[in-house]
Amino acid sequence: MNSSVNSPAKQFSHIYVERSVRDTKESVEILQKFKSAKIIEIEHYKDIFNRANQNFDTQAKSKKLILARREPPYLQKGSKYSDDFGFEQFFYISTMFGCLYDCSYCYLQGLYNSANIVIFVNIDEHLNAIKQHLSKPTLVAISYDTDTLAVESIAKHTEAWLNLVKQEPNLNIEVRTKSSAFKAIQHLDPTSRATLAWSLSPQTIIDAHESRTASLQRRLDAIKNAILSGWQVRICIDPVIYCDDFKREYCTLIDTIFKTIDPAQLHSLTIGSFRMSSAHLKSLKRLSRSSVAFYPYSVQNQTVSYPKEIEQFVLTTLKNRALEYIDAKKIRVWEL
Amino acid sequence: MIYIVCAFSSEARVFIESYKLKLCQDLPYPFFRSKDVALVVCGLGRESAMIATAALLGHSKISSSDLLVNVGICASNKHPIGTTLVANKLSYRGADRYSDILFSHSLEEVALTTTDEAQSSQTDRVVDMESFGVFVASSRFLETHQLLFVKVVSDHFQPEIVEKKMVDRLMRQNITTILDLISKALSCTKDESLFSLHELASLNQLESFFTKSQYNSLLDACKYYKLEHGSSLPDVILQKREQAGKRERSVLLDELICKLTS
Repeated sequence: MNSSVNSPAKQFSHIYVERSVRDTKESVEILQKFKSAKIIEIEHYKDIFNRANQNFDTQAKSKKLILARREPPYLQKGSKYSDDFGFEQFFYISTMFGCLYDCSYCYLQGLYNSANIVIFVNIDEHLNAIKQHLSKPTLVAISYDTDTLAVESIAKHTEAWLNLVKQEPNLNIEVRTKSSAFKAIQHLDPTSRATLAWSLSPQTIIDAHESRTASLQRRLDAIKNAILSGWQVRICIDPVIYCDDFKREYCTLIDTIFKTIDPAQLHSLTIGSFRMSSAHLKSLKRLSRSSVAFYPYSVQNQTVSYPKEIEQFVLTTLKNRALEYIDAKKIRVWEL
Repeated sequence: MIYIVCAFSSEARVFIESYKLKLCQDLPYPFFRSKDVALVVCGLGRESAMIATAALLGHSKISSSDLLVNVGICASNKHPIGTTLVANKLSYRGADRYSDILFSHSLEEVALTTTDEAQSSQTDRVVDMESFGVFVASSRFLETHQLLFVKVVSDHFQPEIVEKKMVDRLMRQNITTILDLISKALSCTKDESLFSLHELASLNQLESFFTKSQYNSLLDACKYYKLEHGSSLPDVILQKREQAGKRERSVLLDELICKLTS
């Protein structure tokens, strides 16, 4: 069974630091948390992160941390693979590259050559960049290319974003996570413009495909805590991985969720089956790490997803099960 | 396979003995090998190291389970003579390269600077004359976690005191530590083959039965099966096929993929 990463200090044997940010307040604070790590000065994060001939699979077993300064542009338009929840503007901003976790279906394996994690310590410059785009209601996904909350005890990026949400009435953020690290932000005041979104999977899927993430039980405990503390919580059963015992596994998951969480207190439930760009899937195949890469998907508009009849079966089955507990208005079914 | 690059015979001798390597004439360098280990003595300097490393690896059939080790002496005024160091950063004239150290060990890690001449002036850097050349050549063949740079401090920037006997003694004093390190680094490399030899042979036969695109789809489904179940491919996949028409092949492909992925 996987365990939550409770002690990030034990995670990194080596930390690469750009010479120009070594003495910044943010870097110093982070480095103090890793007293036994070997610190290696570098000129630019790309010298490590973008090297040729890295092996993602092998590196994933011993991820290294890189502290760097990111150059603009910081803002990206929201991905077509993600939900904009009806907002007029939808951006995502990556204040980190890579992820502490190692999900075998994750597109990051196709996006990056490296399994290492880059934390950009110039978070303030990222925050300033969004301010000039907030003349209308805007959604910013802050954790689509990473799991920000998972590393909150290392770099307080979620906290920085939540503080900005307080100041900017048009700013809405989604913090998506597979961690149980709610305690890292529990001291902050909840706001209706920040949604904490937990991705949940059956424990068998977590064991098989979501290496190093928090167990289902620990995620559910964190969700309960967040709701009790007044936060707006979304549960995402997304991506659904179609498997032998799909119906039993995922219907049991929905039963378990609603035995633990009061549906009336849940902001929303998102259901979506696995999808990915064809290019990223090609990279995943090269790595040969997971069966997920080799399923005979349908391909449409450079996007792979389960064949229509399977996708419909997955989404209908789960929606119908969820309707036994939660109002239809709160369910979002994600289809391309 | 472990590939070892040393600058001097005095650095290499203890490895030749430990791994029971035999002299071979296959390279224009002193070259020793066994079934699992190959060692080349490259001579002094970055360029010699680069050429010999390229010759060694170019001469070999490289795999993902291989490891290249550059082992030898270095100068440092921060460490006692005889200290074994692992390099995590290699520099030469302002250029930096990094190997991936993915295993835990108890040795000190350092940034290692390669110079063109033996250093007699004091510096805070740890210095050798080959490692950067070995990195540049070997990183064309191997991945960053397959490269290991181990150095034993031979002097405090007094190259004139470094003699063959002394080098041989220093390497022998540290051989257990270095062999242990090599074995840890080797454990991080992996054999990538998903299929058994029998499965590969059977799949090869199917390659001519199906079209290229059909075969690739079947291969993906086989990989799905292996990664999902971890067991041998079902016999029905591997059985020999007689020639068939376009339609029959297409129906068969659908059946096989369905069997492997459902």
